[in-house]
Amino acid sequence: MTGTATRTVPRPGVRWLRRALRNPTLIAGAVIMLVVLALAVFSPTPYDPFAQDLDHGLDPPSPAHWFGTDQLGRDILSRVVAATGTDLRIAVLAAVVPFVVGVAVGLVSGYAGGWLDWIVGRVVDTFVAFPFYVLVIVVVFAAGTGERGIYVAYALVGWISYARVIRAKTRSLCRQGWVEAAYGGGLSHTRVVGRHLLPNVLPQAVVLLMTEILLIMVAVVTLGYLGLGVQPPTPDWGTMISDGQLFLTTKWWVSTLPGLAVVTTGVGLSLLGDGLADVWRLR
Amino acid sequence: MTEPTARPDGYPGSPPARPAGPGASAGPTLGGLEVVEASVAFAGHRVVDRVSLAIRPGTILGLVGESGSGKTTLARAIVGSVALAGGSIRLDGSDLGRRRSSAERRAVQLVQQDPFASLNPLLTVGQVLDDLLREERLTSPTEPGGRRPRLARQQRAADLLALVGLPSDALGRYPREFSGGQRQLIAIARALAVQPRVLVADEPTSSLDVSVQRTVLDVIAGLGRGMQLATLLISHDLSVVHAVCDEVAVMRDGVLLELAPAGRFFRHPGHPYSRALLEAVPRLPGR
Amino acid sequence: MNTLGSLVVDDLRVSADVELVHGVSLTVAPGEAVGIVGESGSGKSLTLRAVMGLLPRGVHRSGGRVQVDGTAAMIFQDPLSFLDPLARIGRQVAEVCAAVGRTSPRAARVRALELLESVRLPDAADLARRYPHQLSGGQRQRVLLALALAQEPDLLLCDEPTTALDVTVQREVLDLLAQLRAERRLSILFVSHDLAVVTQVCERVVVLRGGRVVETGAALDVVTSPASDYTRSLVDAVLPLPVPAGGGDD
Repeated sequence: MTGTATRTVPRPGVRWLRRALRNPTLIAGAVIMLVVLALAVFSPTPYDPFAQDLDHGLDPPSPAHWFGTDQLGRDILSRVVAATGTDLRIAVLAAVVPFVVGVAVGLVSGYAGGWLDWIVGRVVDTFVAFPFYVLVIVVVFAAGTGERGIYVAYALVGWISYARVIRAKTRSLCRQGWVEAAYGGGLSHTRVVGRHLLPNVLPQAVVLLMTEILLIMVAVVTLGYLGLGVQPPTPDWGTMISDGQLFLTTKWWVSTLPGLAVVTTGVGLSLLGDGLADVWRLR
Repeated sequence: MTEPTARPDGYPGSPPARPAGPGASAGPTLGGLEVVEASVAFAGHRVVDRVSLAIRPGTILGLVGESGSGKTTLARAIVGSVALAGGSIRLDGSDLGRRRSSAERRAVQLVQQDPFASLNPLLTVGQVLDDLLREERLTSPTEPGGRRPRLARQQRAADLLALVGLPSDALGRYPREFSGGQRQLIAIARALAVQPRVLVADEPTSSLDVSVQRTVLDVIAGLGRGMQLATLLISHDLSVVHAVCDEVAVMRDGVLLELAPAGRFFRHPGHPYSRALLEAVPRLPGR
Repeated sequence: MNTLGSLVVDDLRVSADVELVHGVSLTVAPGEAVGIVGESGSGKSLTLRAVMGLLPRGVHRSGGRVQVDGTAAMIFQDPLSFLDPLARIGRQVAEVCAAVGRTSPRAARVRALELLESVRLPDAADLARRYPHQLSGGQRQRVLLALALAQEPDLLLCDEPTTALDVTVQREVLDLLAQLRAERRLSILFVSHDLAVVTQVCERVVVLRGGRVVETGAALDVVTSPASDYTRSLVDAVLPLPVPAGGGDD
């Protein structure tokens, strides 16, 4: 038989890239996040973020200090840039363990079904019954403030979102014939889950990861604001916002500009997640 | 029977497979698949009720029934997806339990109805076949006692595709690049990759256009006979069963009503229900 | 001259992002049954929906003319998706009756029961109290017929109405269709991929392929001596089935 009935298509990587480049949401998100990432990695601070200059405290934005100075005379722009590295690093690191654990639990639970799935479902239901921030704050109190507390808190609590989504996706995939065919062909359960199911659920997991990083980042900032997160003098958007709240109406730049940095990063992550979801046709 | 001349899809025509002669009646079973008083129950209700049948290697049994007859459930029990509430399923004399070993799973293969859900969308045809061929712990002349090396697997994959009438360049393509009929052929190649003893085809052509039905059926029948598989073909469509099957079994409400050689069944159906089914099918004038 | 129930489709074009139906023309004379056959992707279903004005989202008529003389009603392949799962059968039929005839709710209910009886549903009063999921596939299809008849149509459009039904049920539904057609002098436009069914139901047939008309003519003629190679290949691809000896269809 001649191969006339099959269409030649370019390799999937190329197709994906073309689709991605045509998606404005993805482009916008990627651009923002690349800038944020560059700031986080290279930390191009015009001044030393820790250097105090008490004679020039609370100066408004000027050519010398684009973002003005805080109450201790430190350059806010430098601190915002330095905090980018801090907050983003913590958010990404804290997101890793929940991602791995949550996807694994979701896959196994969705694939196995039966009593295992039931138990996991009840555990998830229990966690979901509590307001998320309450849980996080409780764990942070127990585990200690600062970075370590955040990592522990998210490792314990953050996997739930992934588990729910990936479990649902896994169950819907299992209804498709090819999963049964893989197991029926003699492959072990591990092989079926790892080689066949996992690549099919990863896109959804990655999109969720973007949202989770965003949420963790906001939580880090919130904890910082509450004094439970990153401890001074390490620059952190949350503590910066907290520092400036006393003079919010008079010296607005101290709180507002770090706040804008949070919003911008959040928007970037959101757009990136949405863009990926569009390109991977998950919405 | 006419031979199709201009096929709209370019597949080669092949002479229609003739069912075996009247020798397909009871005798001592020499290997093959045996279903003995099999029952399946869902929520207390018997969906399959003490069904017994046997398929010898190299023959094809057609299982017909309307919706609710239990034929699909029986197929799933044979494949091992569904537990039996009673009776047993035997392959070459030994029982196939609910929990099957890897080798037992490979021995009974299923070709499913929906060609669009039967292939992993993220893997190429070659990757799917390679994945299964890698698990083969069969001794080959070149690699005694071990797994086949990559090149041997690739060659075997190409051979499998050739068996079902697909070109070897299909190996590098993804399922979405193929039509429904071609996907069914790929599914058949996948089933054959693990060298099964039993092939269960559950409505393999129901989702396909009429023009490709013949090709897929011929492939199933030709390979089933040629490789001495015990083939179970399930269909609600009697004309499909007539085209390739040696024997016909009719189910209704979980019960096996009739089991007869094809030749006799279509001319002189034994059970009134079988006759009613045959008479209800609209026929094309002049065929 | 009575033209009620006639249909004229002239150079119909239907498009989504690309054109899907490329200038299909056909006619249905009053009281005639015309079949549309084709494989998947032939545009047969879209053509029917365009006549009814029921195209799916993103698909629109991009050209041509459709002229129906009288009222048109339609029945579909999957009755379950066209019945409200939360409303009892009797009420659903009565709703349509009330809307069509502008009658009182009581009169509508009476009419609904009449219609359910006319589609040969046994124990119509009891069935009217049930929900769609409690009915069999064949019963649901009869309910769709009742809903269609409630509109007092002159033209009945049928989109693969028996494809999903068991063969014995299909036979009953097709017999019923033939009876209703004779009783009410309906015109019928019947879409199916099944040549044998179409030949049984229709006098004339239109063969579609890739959104174009390939052949049209009397059903028996087209099927026994097809003019085009494509039609011939469709006919040849139909698997034959012998009639059992002794007995037959009487």
